[in-house]
Amino acid sequence: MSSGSRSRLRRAAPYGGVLLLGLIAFLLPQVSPTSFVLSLATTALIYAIAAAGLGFLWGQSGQLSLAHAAVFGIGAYTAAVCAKQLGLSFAASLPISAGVGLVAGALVALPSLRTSGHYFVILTFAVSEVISVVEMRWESLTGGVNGVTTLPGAQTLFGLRLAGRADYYSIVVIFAVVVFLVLCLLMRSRWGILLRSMRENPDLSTSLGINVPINRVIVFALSGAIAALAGQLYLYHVKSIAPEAFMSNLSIVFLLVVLLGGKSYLLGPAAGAIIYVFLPEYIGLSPVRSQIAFGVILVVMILTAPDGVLSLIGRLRERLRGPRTEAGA
Amino acid sequence: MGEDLTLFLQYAFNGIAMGAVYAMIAAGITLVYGLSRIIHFAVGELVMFGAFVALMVWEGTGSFSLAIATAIPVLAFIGLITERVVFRFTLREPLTGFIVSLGLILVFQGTAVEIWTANPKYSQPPLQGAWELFDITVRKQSVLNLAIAAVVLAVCYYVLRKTTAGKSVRAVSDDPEASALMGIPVKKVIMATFIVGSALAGIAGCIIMTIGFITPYIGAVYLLRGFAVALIGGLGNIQGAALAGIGLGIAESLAAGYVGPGWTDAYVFGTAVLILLWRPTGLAGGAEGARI
Repeated sequence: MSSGSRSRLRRAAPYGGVLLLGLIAFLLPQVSPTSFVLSLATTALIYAIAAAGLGFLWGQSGQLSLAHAAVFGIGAYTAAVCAKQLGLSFAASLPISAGVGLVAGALVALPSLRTSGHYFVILTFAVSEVISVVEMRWESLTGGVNGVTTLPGAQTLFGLRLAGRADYYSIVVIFAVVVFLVLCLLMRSRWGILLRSMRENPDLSTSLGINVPINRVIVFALSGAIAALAGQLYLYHVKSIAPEAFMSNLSIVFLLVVLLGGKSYLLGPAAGAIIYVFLPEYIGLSPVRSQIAFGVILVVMILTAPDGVLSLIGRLRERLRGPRTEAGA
Repeated sequence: MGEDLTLFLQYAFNGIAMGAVYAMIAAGITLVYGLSRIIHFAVGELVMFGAFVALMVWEGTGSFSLAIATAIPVLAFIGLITERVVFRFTLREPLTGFIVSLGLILVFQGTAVEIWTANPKYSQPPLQGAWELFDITVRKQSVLNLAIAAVVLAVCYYVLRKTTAGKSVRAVSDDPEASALMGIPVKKVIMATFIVGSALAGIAGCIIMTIGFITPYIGAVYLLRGFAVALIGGLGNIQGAALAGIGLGIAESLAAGYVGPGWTDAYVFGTAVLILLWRPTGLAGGAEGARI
């Protein structure tokens, strides 16, 4: 194989990987697992999408947000309002909820123009609490503490029924594949390099003529749109939402999902989400006990393997292969 | 005019009583941040633990002083354990410490649900009755709470300003390396601030137990108020925290009284966000290079 085609192959590998994993996920209903497993898998994929947005934000641009659950909630509520009060279909409300998420993400990021570091993270937390209050109190729109229920009825998308368990799972797989492909594209674009340079040294990036504040807001808006998209997928999955589903604990969960898989890996959030959703079911932990367990896991992970489980695979491979030699280069 | 003024003073008094609690939580946050640069987000859960421990002892023995006397060492012990087991290893990378504290939120909350269930708990305040002063209802319990908070904050202030121990705390906050060279046991001092900070949250919990319902999920409410106060007062600034605490308490009480209780949180946090956008290092000064 010539070196040119090899490097082309290497460049295409991640896209192929995403597509291959997507195909495997797509075939899951064909091996006919129970609808319980499919439902869990759907949840895992939705968490993976939301966390992928957060992982991109955190891993590439180095910004942490505790408002992600709130933006996810905004997406879900926007979709609910579109369906209930405007009578829009799933497909028609998708750009609206993603757009609202885009704006919400940009608004959350606005304080980063004035503050940074600790202050900014705490501000994102404050903003998410304000959003929770609004969801709780704006009863005409959100149904207050009781929340809202949306049934998809006989709608279809890509020829798949939204109301069918296996069909809806397949729809979510398609969205997940698209989101991961787009993020992969962005990570490997010039913009991705720009974001990483901002992460490593904002001052130096500024001196190179990069408009750091604007790019921060843009990457936040993008990850907000992804979170809101996941929010709409979540609404049509669980059918019924209430404000307490989107409290700050969920933001911590998204963070955990990103960290579990590895924040610098494209597929890290997907791996993290699968572990987060399936592990407690397999061990048979109650929700409260699994919350404690994941709290402990979060603490242990950040202290011992801050790059996530995917980095452990790499470490293991390196150990098996022995130290890397010059020969390959 | 008289009635309006009475109502205003009533709200203001309620606000001061509540604000003193926020000031205590914020003082703990500020101490821990000032020395370790760690944003300790599990502080709301420490408050919640303090409230539950105090409630158990108070209902079991009927002695509020014993309740406080139990909650302080229990929370101090939790502070000690968390510092020794996890936070000590995050001192070089404060962001890691912050994420550790997020994990602790999940652990503490879940543990509280396992021990005390998720049902709201309520107990009669230890001190019943109230005085009428110029038509304002002054609950005896509120006065006691205010007195406790005032004494605790005054002691903190005194220790920090007037004792050798306090001087070493301030020295470490200013320059850990130089302090270590001067023979100050920096790690022990940092450990002490975690103990004291947790104990302060515990005392705040004891007071909160006398005010209303408690559940394992009240942490976030006090976390955010504690941080709003600590940030507006300027991280690392105890006097700033005391003033901002009282200010937040009054603002909150006025908003609840005049506008309605439902949206209070939104106003309060919204205002906090705006203040911080206007003055990122707080109104009272203080900065990333915090002053204690």
